[in-house]
Amino acid sequence: MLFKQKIILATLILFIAVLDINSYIFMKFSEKAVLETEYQRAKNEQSFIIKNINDILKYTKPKDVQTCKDIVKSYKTFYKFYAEDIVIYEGEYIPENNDNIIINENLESPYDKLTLVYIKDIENIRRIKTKQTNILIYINIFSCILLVTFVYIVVCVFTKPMNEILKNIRVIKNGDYDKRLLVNTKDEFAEIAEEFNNMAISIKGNIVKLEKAIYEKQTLAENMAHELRNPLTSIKGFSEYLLKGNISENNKITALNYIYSETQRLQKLCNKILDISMMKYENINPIKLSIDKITTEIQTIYVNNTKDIRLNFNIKSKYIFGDYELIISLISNIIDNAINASKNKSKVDIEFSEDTNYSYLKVFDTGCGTKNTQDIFKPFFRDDKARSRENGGVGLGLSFCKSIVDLHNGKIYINSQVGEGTVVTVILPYIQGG
Amino acid sequence: LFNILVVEDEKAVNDLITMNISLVGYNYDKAYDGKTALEKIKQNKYHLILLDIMLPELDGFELASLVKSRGIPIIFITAKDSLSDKIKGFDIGAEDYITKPFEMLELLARVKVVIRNKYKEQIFVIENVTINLNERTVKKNDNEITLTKIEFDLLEILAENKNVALSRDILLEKVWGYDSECETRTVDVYIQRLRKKLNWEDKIKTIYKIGYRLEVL
Repeated sequence: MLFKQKIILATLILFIAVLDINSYIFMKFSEKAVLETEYQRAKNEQSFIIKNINDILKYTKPKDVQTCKDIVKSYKTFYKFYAEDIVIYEGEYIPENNDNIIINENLESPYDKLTLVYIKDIENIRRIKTKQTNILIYINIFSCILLVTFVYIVVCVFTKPMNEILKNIRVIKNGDYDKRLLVNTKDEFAEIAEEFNNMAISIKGNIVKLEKAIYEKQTLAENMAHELRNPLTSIKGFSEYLLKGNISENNKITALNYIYSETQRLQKLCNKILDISMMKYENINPIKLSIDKITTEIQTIYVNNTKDIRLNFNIKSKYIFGDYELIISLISNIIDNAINASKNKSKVDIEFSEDTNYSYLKVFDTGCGTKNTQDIFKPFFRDDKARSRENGGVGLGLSFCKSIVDLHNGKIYINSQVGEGTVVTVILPYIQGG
Repeated sequence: LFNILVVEDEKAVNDLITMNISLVGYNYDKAYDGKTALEKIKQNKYHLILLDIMLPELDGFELASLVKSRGIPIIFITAKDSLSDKIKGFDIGAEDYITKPFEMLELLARVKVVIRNKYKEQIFVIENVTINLNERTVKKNDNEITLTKIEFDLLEILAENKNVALSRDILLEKVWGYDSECETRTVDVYIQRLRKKLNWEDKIKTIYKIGYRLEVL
């Protein structure tokens, strides 16, 4: 049942009950009063009549009962105005129904064996009562109609915000989370609307977050599939080519070379993916690392790089806090990128510095630069597909770096000018007294 | 001779495709990105383009729309195999679609079908033997050689995939049909007959553990 119907029904029941109980009690009282008055009047009349009858009998002195009855009968018309009927009975008169006022009284002696029965009709009182009941029914019907109309209008006005809320909730339920409830009243409905709006806002926020996460996962999976499929296609295709083709010795070597190099690429990809996913679960214990030791190690890695690029160290700090292997991995990944971007025989600057709270590592190159300073941290993102593959990259280097930095509670970002160069900055927390 | 442009940014895959199509006698040209491909299409005449979708500079779909007016048939080759991509490819007017990783025979078969539909290629010439698919006749040095239906079908499939080894199962399926109850030994018998009729004992080679190959260099 609708809220409106409930309110109307409840009001109606209450109203009818109150009205009818009141009317009933009032009617009962007034009926009783009227009856009492009537009875009193009848009593007076009866005593007047019986006095007269006694006087008449005293003078006429009838001999038998029949004569007595006849005399009383003859006076009946005379008393018509006062009584419906007066009869002489021997013994008590038992009335058949109670509708009339009946008074029995013995006559004076010597007729005291006889009873004068006085009967007074109260038909008019009953008529009044019926009329009253009818009026009450009309009042009931009329006031019910009035009440229902009034209550309906009032309830409609009061529940209007509720309908608005319902309508909008349905809209929001169907996915339109930007829809807002508008309630101008200053009652509970306004509160409901406000809370509901807040809920819609937070749902919207969560959905956006989820969608973004799903999108990123999907892109990652798609990219991974793409990265896996290319080497697989080559390996499968070239082995089939070797197996079935009628081919020259030169082509055989080309095919075998491809199979070999593509297998290596797959292996590299597997290792990188494993590294990154391991990184997500691992907890590191940062220790105090000597920057001298780190730079020595880095220098040995790059002493004979293919592009003949000179590494320039600028050290303004003594220590850095982190996991030795991971820090070396981080720096060498960044330097790999710098070298890949640079022209032959150019230089790459590496700067270590610190302030009270943080250690800073900056790697400067004068290479080709990039526009994608944000996307470049995403897994499998390549700034330049063709060049990156030729260098044997799998598109995970910076994504790996970001995982390492995150693990150290640090930050990494890139500033770059296309054609001029790139600066990679890593900020790691410096542990006091460590 | 048919000229095919292979547009694929992955050098290994590009080489794989070109090495395969050159085996069966197509000419090829390579492009590693969309822009270069577009330049090449404007300058040279190609009979077919094998086109990757994820390309640097200009992706495969864009390139296909740009060169649509030239009426060159296009087969998309890509790692993407979602239905929506396939439909998009066909909407642009692609003739066919191959997903990586693909089988060598699948690639060759699709290339062959597109070229044959487009250019009505009906005649194979292998050294001194001419095979006319329309008339279903075979001539060696202008002398007609009578072949049965099965022998002709077998010769056709070998010629289409020249220099590529075909397994007995593949031959059985392509020539006798999927539901054939013949055994692989039947293939050997028919190969023997073909060799004898064409005097091709040295051309139709038996490849150990694989099958047969028509070798033409």
